[in-house]
Amino acid sequence: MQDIRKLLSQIASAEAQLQSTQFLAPCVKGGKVRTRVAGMIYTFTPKPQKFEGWGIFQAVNAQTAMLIEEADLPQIAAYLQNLPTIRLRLAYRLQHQTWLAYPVNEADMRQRFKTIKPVPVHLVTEGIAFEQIIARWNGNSCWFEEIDRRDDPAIAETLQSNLKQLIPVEELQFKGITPEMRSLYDLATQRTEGFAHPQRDEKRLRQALKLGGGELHQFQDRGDYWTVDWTTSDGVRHTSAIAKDDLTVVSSGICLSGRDHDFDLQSLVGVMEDREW
Amino acid sequence: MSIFFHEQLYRSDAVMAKLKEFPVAICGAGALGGNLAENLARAGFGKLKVIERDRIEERNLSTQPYYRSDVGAFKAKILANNLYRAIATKVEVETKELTVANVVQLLKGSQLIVDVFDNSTSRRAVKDYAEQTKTPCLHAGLAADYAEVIWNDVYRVPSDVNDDVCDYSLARNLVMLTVAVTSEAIASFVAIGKQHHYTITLKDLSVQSLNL
Repeated sequence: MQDIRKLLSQIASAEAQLQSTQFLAPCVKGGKVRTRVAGMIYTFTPKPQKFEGWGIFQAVNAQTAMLIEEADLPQIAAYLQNLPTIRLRLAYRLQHQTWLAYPVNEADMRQRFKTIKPVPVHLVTEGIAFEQIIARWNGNSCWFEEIDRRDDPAIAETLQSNLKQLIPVEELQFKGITPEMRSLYDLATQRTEGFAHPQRDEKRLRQALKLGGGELHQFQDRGDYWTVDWTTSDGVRHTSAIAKDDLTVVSSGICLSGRDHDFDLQSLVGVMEDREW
Repeated sequence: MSIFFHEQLYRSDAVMAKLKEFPVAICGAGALGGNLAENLARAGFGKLKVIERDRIEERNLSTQPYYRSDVGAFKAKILANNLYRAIATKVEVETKELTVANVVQLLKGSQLIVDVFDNSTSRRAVKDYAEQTKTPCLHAGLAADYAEVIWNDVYRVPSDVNDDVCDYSLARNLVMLTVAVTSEAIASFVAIGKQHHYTITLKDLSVQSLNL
């Protein structure tokens, strides 16, 4: 057994070093930044708080880290290259630089990540609806890397054209279409004016939960958000506050380290299911 | 087999080593500067710095190495990102306007300066800095169907009459010819220290060595 005083001394030394060390971190708008020192995770509020992107930060105290400068691509690439890649197609923007995206290959996603679901992708600096991207998964969040240049750009254009013409997903037909593209298109139709349904709100919530593997029980209107009662596939019940405009999480019902807004209702199901109680 | 395999066979290992380590500042990332930076990087230059304050506009796309999705972004940053993605070459960038006030800060450390700016004020600042510091400096400039590649000791800054003109004719092929000639002039200088001047005319597809 190690000397507890020695361990504490090491941690204190590491913490002192923390404030003199710059670290690279992704930062979602309104979110926080993290780094690891001596095996411990430290979470900071970035200053300026409105910053969104990859930054070089330095802690100024236990709660705040100052943005020193925006990171460049080689730095970002060095960070991302250790994370597994996943090919996704962008569905629609959730907020700021966060988009909802769907896997290009469901079988691949199932095999590697044990689940199939739409995922929020953060810091999407370029890209349009239905475009294929390469993202990196860090076990908790998905980070945009680049537009996938191997993709046929006509696919995104065709899907956009169909959406603009309000073609129902059942009638979607073009050379090269895949089941994943249908699922992606269906996701996008839920956000498109002209695809209205009776009791739209309930259906919208129900479908979002269903896509994520959850089930809606009931919801209440709270002005600019809903309070949603729902269960995961294993029957665990949750209550979350969900923003009306884009189904992002206002309050998940559990602590997400102040990053509720990083998630939407669909992805929240996966977070809840993966959580170890 | 390396990224620069064919260039290496052409130039030799010794020359490639020089290209890799020779610090070059490219002043401008438009039609000439953007393509020139790409040319040099893909030819093996490993220490490039690009100075350009402008953002990409749609009309730039016909003569500059940028994409539709890049419109609105800083030319220098997109250029650096593209080269890193393509061949893993890290290009230093400055998205500031080069002026008399900051020219020293921006150009210090460069062993060769390439001036392809689109305005006379910045060209004047570059020329004067190069003279004062005795730094080799190559200027490349375009007219409608004519281009010059001139070293600093005999270069004359053009008048400012065209500085704010946006509507001008420019053939992509003249750009690419000029970029090729400028690139080769630079490579020759780095390899054997020679400074050659050239004129280029598009209509008769001619490149002439200029003895001044």
